[in-house]
Amino acid sequence: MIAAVREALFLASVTLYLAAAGAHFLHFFVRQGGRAAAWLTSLAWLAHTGVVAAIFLAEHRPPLATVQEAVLFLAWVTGLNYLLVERLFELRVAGTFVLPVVALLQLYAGALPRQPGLAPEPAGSLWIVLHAVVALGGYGAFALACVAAAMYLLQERQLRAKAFRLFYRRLPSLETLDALAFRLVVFGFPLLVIAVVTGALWASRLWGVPWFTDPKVPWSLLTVAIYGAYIAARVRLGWRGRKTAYLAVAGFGVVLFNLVVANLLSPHHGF
Amino acid sequence: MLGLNHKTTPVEVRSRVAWTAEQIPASLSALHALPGVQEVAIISTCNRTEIYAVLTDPREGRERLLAFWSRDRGVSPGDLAGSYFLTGQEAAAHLMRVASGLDSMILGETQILGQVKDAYEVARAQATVGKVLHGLFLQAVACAKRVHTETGVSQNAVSVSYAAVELARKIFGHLGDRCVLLVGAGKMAGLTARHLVDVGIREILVCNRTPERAAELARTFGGRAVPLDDLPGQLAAADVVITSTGAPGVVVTREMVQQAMRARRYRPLFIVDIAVPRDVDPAAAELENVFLYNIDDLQAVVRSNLEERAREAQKAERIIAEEVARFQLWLRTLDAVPLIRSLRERAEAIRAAELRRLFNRLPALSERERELISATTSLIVNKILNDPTVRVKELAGEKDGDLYLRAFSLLFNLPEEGRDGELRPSTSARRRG
Repeated sequence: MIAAVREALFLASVTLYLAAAGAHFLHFFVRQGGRAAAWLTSLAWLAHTGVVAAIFLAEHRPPLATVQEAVLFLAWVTGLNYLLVERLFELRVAGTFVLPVVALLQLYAGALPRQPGLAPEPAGSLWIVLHAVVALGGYGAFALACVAAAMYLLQERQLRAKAFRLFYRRLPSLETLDALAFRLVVFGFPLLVIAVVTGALWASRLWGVPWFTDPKVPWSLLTVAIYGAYIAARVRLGWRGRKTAYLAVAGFGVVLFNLVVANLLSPHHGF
Repeated sequence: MLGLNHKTTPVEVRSRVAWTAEQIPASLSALHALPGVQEVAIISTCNRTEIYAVLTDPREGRERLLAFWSRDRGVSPGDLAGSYFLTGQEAAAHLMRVASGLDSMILGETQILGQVKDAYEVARAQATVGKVLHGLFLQAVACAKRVHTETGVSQNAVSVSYAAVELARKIFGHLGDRCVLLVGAGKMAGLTARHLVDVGIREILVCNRTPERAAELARTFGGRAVPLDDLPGQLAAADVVITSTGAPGVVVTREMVQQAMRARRYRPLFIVDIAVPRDVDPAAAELENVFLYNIDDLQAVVRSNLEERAREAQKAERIIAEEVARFQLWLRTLDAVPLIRSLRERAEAIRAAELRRLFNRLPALSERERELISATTSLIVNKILNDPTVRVKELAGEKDGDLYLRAFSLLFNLPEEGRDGELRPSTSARRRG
């Protein structure tokens, strides 16, 4: 029963995300249907929330046991973050760039095999949940920061090339995008650090093996280094603009690599 | 609607035939007194003079309006040769295009909307507008507001000085906590600075070759004069720099900007070089977070914005078509109102007469019984008339609305009378804007 509901909601969320992405494109190019786009996004996210809840009810655990569920959860967090950003900053244009990402993540989640994953670790399962939720929460913020940075780079290129065309018109100001990316990184960074620390503590307690043997660890540390450098460069050196935007984009590239490729090599990470 | 505008008539003639704001009230009253003119309003701006009127007979009315116009303004009929005369739907569409700024010299300008509203208010004060023009002007204002919010036809700068403000916004977002530095005293630079002050820029610094001139400019903008020899220091303090000196060579070098950028920790710097020849070394544009634009770039912004407005104008035309259709619908339902009223009066007269006869024949009825009978009969009449009155209003708004109205009055044998009590030849020929 719950499984059927879950399937239906999942399909609904994918469809609605795709529709929302389409509506945002329409809004971007012909300036129409902005409200419809916002509604579709909210509905898609609600359906998505339903999927997350259904997994909770069926399995009595958060949807974090498999790569499939992790991607699903990452898309959910990104969607949530976007909805917040849209409300707080009135940045509907960002949806044109975020929703395709969310829709693709969701499609990707649908395509991944639903393998049972690792057996839930008996001890410290609270740790692992905290570890995973915090990590994915951070990733969600980084995903949006990446989008804001990409929008910054686009707008900066328009302004430098003196190409006063569609993107120049529709994209928000450089300052807005730069500040948004910075805030998102500042929000995501502590989450990432907590994830790494809890991961390390938990690993040494549970497996008794040195935590650095997991191939996921160096990549995670690289992520910490990149976002740490981003914040340091901005705050200490006063860097801003193009250089920091590249860092934010690169950082999320590593996050994705970590999530998709490094997993295959990791004995301990379901995702 | 009889009028002329910047497209049909040269400016010297336009100024000759236009009414001034003071003359309009008297002319409106005189126009309203003409035979066959039921309602009238005048829009008169430097780009157009237009008379909107409800006429009994359009062809005759046109001649009357033209004759009045040339007589009242004391101009030859030849001066009015560029005038256009639009009726019905076309006239309504024209007012909506005018109010929306689509008929303006600068496409999408919004000042005209205020002028249309004023024209309506003046005519209303003179009591020369009735139901039809009231509805038309209201709809035109609503249409213009829709066009402004739903399309980009009035968005984006279409002058060089506003283009500079627009670019500053694209870089900084809000300009409230920014500082602008004015180097030199060019006219365009002053205008741009004025716009920046208007949008609420925090501070304005002025420097000039002659300190007196700098102090004078600083006073006009409520800013502060700063010495020219400390240019690198000022560049570090300002976010927006506007240069317009008459200097033959480069005033702001790449090194100066580089030095300033270090001092300002690479916060973005927006430089507008309006001077010809250039004041700022073009190589400065290569620096990180320096956005340098010259007058040609600003003109490119304006050109691109005008093209964008023209594209948006097509969307606006669709909105206007919708609003005109809505107005037509409303106009037709207006035709139904007198018919419905006379039908109701007829029914009420019959009911009252029959009741009187009944009560005469049954004098023993108590007061309460009479009341009950009266209430019941009135209920019956209302229930029977309800559908026809609702339907005729709806049908009047449909394609062959005139036919339905005619059939309605024939079926119920209603007198065909105009709203103002005049006999009317037919519903369609009677009212033309």
